[in-house]
Amino acid sequence: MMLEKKYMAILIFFVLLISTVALSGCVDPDDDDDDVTLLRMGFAWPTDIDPATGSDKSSTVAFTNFYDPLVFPTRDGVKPWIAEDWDVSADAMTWTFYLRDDVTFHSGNEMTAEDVMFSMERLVTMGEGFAHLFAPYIDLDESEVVDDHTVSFTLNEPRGVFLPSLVRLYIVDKEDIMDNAEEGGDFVYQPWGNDLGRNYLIENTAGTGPYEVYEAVVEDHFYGRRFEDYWGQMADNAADEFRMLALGEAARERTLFGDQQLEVTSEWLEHHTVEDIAGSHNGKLGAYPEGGALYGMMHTQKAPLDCIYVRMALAHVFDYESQIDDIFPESVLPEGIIPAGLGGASSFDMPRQDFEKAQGYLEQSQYYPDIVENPEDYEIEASWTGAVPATEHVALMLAGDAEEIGLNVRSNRYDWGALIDAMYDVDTSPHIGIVWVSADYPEAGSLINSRYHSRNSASWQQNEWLDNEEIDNLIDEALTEPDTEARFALYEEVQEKIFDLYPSIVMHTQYSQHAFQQYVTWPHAENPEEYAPPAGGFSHDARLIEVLPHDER
Amino acid sequence: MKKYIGKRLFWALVALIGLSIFIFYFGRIIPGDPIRMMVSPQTPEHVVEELRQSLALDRPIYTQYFIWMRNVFQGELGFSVYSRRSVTVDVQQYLPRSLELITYAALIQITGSFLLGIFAGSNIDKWQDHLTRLFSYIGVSVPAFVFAIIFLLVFSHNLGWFPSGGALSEGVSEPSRITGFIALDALLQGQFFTIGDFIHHATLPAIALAIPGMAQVARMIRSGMITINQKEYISMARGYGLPERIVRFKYLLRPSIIPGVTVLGMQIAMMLGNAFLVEMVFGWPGFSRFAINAMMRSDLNTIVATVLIIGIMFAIINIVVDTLVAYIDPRIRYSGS
Repeated sequence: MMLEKKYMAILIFFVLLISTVALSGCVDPDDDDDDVTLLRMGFAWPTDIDPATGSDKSSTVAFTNFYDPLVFPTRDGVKPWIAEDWDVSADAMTWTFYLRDDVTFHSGNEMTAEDVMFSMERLVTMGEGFAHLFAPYIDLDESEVVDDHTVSFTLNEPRGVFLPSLVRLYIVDKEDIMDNAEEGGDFVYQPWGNDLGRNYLIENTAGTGPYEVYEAVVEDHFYGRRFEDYWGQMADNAADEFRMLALGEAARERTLFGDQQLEVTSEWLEHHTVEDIAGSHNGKLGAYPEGGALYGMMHTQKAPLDCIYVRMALAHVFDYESQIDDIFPESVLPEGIIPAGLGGASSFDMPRQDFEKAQGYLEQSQYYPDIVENPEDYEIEASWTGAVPATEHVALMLAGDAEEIGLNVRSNRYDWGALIDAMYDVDTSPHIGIVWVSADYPEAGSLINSRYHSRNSASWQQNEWLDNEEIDNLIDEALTEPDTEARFALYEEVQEKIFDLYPSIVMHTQYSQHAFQQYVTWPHAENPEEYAPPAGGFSHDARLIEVLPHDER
Repeated sequence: MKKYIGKRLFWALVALIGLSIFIFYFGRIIPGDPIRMMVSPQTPEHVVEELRQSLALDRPIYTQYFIWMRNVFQGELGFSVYSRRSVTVDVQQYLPRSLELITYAALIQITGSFLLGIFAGSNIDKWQDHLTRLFSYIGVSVPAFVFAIIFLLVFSHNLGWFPSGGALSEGVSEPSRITGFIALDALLQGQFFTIGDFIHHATLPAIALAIPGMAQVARMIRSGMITINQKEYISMARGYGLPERIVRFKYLLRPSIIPGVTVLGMQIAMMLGNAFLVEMVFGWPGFSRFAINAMMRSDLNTIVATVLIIGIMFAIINIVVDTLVAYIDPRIRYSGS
């Protein structure tokens, strides 16, 4: 009996010991300064803070807040930013930019035209991230620094979309980067003979943006503090610190949000979770477009989708409204094949669910009636990635709707890597790939090019394999046209031609939804029609997001 | 004993080389082109090929292996397409966090499982035994990440006793890096508040990680005690009138814990791989979370490094456990050598 008591005593002691030691840290750290306002935002990771290599959502948010682009995207196009003004030669081959003279890097170095030229050279030389927007078209040998605050870029062919593309030219500090560039290792770029600061910019920033990184844990977070010498305007209550956190796990986000340790939830949580987080903790709900859409990309070279009538039938069986109501309430029905809001996007009489029409189209197909009599011979694979579980609902919805007219559509899950691999080859691409794609710059040309030009067929942004020379030529003509109005007219023409071919089921225009705290005012999410630029990453602009001081909450 | 340990070390090395070849090959046949996953979708083909060449991914697989092996002996684990830097740097950054968490969890697991096992084994069919069995059933059948979510919601969110994630509170700086282990570095620099804050953060994830193994081992010790208790030599010891304390600790407990010690070792070694979801739930900046995220991106070098590190942990713990078991039961040592 004595021994049992002894064991019990040891067990109780053990539990108490853990509790005591654990709770010993229950004191708030004294440096949790109430005078400092924090804007903590959750993101799907990884985040790449080097503007010459990153291009995904969280990376572009980092660029928006730690760097400045040459020009800034707006709802109507672009506005002066680091470049105060510009002009273009008559042949649209030479673009001259007049730069601000009051811009300082986080290092304290003054920003000059040399830095802008270096930023372009670095991006093009490294070839990653947004380099594809410039590398094929820019002639670096002919481009030049005119004076300290004037830079001239010469192109090797006219390119009308060069200007809007410059929203992705983020200016880096040449001196800081070259001081920290490493020689040797896996990456040595010529003629520089070093890694162009590639390793340095994994954990550091060399920008002019409103926030400078002061703590970086690559797999977990980036903390930035207000840059005292920032040249641009900030909202009155812009946060003192901007923090990017690797999140995405619902229980943790709920806890952090409830404890006011997170101001804005991450993007890929299920709609109901976001709604619940905002509802249970008196938060706000907001959503903004970023020039993206969810596409059911139909492989136009693979039977039976090589028949336009089968594609038209599928486009008319999908239940667009229910998809919005049940799965993506934050998003909106598409008005065209390119999301409304992007400059030059056209509106069409988009297909809606109509079984009668769908049946009519199907009956005109070369595969009819065999396709409904022997559906096992005509299986159509609707592929989605496990990385975004919500797309499974869409695939299943499409399969169920298609069954109504006798089509055999099967939902098929891919790992993201496997889907990318499959979509790089015309033979291995699935019948239908369900994927979101967004514009790189705020014009329809960005998406038209990435989605339908044959030079981009081998990528996860395209599964249609249109390979249509007429469309390719029209897209090229539009992208080179320097006059905006004429360019938009060409966009319209090419969109009509693409629309007539029914290569895609445009499921919705994407809005990204977040829950955010009552004490946060986020113009882009609360009033997207006025504030949200249709290009990824620019709506998380901490310059304009206000966080009330603690004593005013 | 030296010969015994030497033999174990030799076979561990052979197993690790075999493991590296196996995982190197299978890592490279996983679907998903790592370079394509690293770059933006419209990156021109020539850039993709240049990157492939820079990282030697265009070479035959055996050449890649020998290049990798040569680099490993120079302390370089290769380039991570996920973090875009050397895997060695990632390992240095994240592994200590996970090892600290696992050490804490292991301490809880060892202490808890022994105490609960002995507690139940000494009170067969009494309420203490029933309670421990109930705990064991729940502990074994519920995965660690479910405990993690429950703990997070109850003890952190609702009761507010513990922080909701991370390794340190906002505003508490990490101690200057000496070993990479926060608690140890803080101790060496006399930063006791940091140690307390760290333990405060690590407690919930550590308990969540420890429970499944604790429950399993407690059951094994309990069963061992019941079985051994029925042996004739125990009855004889009691018949000789030896004090109950000596009977229990010297003759009953020692043989009862041998299977438990072996399983405990495996449980601790497996924690590094199993910690992923717990690290995810608690936002613990550890190696498991990093490794799984990298694997999802077909980050070949990280996959190989991760499996090797887990393999090395298994090997070390195996040797420690085998040595310990051999010490507890000399018959194993003799037959082993």
